[in-house]
Amino acid sequence: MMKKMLSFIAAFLVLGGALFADVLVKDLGDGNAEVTFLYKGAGNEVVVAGDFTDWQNGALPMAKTDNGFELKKTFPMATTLKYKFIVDGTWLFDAKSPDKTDDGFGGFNGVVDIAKLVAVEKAKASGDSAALEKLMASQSGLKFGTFTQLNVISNFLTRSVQDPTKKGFETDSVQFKAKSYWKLSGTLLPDAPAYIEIRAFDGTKDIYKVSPTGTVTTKAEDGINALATGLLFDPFTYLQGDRPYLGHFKAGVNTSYVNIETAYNWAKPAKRSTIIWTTVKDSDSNAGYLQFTNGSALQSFGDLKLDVGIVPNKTLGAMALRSWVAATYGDYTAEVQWDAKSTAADQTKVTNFFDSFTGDLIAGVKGTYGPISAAAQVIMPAASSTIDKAIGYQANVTYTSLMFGATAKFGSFQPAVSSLYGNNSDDDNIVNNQSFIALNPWVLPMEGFKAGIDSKLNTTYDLKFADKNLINLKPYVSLDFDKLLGYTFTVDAYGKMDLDLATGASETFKFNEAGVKYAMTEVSDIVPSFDVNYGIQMGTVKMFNTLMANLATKPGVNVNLGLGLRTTNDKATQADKDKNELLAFYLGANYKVAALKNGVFYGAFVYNMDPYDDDKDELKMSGYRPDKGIDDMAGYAKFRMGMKWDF
Amino acid sequence: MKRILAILAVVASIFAVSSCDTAMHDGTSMYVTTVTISGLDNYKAFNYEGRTLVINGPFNGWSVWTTAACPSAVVSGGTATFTINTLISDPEFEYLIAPRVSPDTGGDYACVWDYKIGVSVNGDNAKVDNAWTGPGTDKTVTGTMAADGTVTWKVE
Repeated sequence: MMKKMLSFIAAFLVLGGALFADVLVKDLGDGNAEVTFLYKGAGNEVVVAGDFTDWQNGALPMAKTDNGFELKKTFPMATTLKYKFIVDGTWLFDAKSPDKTDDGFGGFNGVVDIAKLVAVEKAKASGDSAALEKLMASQSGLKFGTFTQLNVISNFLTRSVQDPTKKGFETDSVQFKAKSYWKLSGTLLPDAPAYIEIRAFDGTKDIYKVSPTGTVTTKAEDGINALATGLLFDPFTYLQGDRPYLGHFKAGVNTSYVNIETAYNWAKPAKRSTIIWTTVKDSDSNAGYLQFTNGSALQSFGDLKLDVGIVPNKTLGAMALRSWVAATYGDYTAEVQWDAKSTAADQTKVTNFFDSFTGDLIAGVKGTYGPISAAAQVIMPAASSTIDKAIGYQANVTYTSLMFGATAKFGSFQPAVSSLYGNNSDDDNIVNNQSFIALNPWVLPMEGFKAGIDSKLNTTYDLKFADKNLINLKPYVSLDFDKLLGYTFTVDAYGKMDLDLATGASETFKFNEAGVKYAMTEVSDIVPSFDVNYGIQMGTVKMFNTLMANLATKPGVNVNLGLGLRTTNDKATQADKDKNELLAFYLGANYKVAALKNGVFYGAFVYNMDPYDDDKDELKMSGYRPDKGIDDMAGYAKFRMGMKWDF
Repeated sequence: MKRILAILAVVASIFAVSSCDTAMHDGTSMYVTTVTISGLDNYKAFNYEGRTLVINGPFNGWSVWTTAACPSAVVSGGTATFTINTLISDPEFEYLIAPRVSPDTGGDYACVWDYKIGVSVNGDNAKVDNAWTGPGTDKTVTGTMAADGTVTWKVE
């Protein structure tokens, strides 16, 4: 009895406290449940992005409250959600989510199994310890997930291979494209986490194919025959072209004092973005590692939280090491990271490791004081043989109030500065040989109306403005007519432009891009949402206008359609004009089939443009335009139908 | 499931037989002898010097990144030259160059994707327009890497 009581208390504490602390569920009694997402960290603008919002495309803004940020949304009871927070543009895994799953990028997505959470609440309310124990047991063990996609794709030419002035419509190939990745994540034993990803198959087979010179290289009869034979008698080998193989693999053991994790080859390390920069990116390039981090008994000392890690690994075939110490006290965090890669000729002796190496030393602090948050970080090369005095640094300060706010940034990176494991290219990361000053003010004069401008001045690391003086500007405005006038729609717009003030710049002002989005919710009983995106992209000799609409329906059919117009400017040569495909369009739809394990059935026809991501049903957007180059798919068309499972 | 597979098969068949003409597949070819990348020493974030690079692409059937299957070249003085000797019939000649990790490592793991050389470091594959000069004219493709890692390619 005593044992049962203790286990009940333990289960209650674990499930009711840590696991479900920041996602609440409420049974509405009509087959639906209200889910409340809570975010209690720092930030100005927080949104929830998940599989229920088409991730970033339909991310839902959270309302600011006295305790942080909050969002309530109603879902059918038998729903399992995957989600992340986006805090001021940065994706964050909710460490307090009820459950988690691999996000495919080396990190995790939060998981909310609504029916299970409701069952837990009921078990807690009724004091049913047996039910609660059973639910807790279901939290352990390995969980299966997969991304599987089966596609039939017809590819067409809309202009001739060699003569771009000759337009038309001609079949180029018909393909069967299939990929399947199987993921097992969770715990092998209590305190022994593991993540195993198997590439079951990933391949494309031609059913019919014409070479660019007009030879039919795969006849339809032969292609269909081969496809049928392969799929019927040995599908894995046929589709993979080889046996299924182990992709990512991580396993470890957690003890009170140390957590050990080892990973094989392409297993991505956990991303680190503690202060400003991404100092360890979730890259595939590391050929295995052994990681030691501090265990649960060494993670908290009162209000002080410690994060310590040391990771011997193989980088570019060489012995290497990354290590860090981070301490958080309340709203303040300090971190030091040291990275090294051996440059010894003989990489088979560990004793050679410290003889010669290259690497970097990174240190930083951040904190929040009332409405002001600030962060500073510095990086220096740390090689064994030479002492390079190069340095890179960045400081960010953000002020936030109810009606206005601003972020100011300054960074400077000497040419020899780069991070061994970090991100050396994107915004808010190390970009060697440059300095920048950024200022991002915004105003919120009334609830539902926000406007601001992101500006960034880029120059050389030694501030030679005459050599480089490029200013990126992005003004934007966001209107929520629900809050302004009670109408359930929003309008968001932005523009992107450059001012090049360097001596001898060929073009002082350059307009790059603009976008407007109109989004409606609760349009009618059967149309829960509808949005229209207009985007304009400027190239050197071309401009691409796109109008893209997305319609969701209650029966579960989602429809996308769009139109694109490419035009050339006066810099275009005759060859550019000949190759220009003026008209582009697409039409696609998807439908989740509950009877097929919630597989999504989809189809699309795309002509001279393809805004979809990797032959899937999801649009790949940048702002309110396709995240593709202006000439992407110009001269080609596709019709595809397929099914995918992603859970 | 049967119904969905039947739909897929019917739709694929319709599209396959809807246009079996090949008049627009009128490509000839361009004979590429070498691809040369220079200025690798301009980019300080990664040391290419002395490292073996490999080149791959549709011209090579996207073969696995092994020593046997891909042309390779050692970087010397910031320059590497790959011997291709291949007829290109596609509208664009597409290729990807990346450092090889180790001769002992085969398959997909042979290359360092983080430092692949395309239109930019960490960027897409490199592409140049087919000059359609035919099999009898030797063409070379050259690229120069700038300090920020971007590469400008041209056919000569």
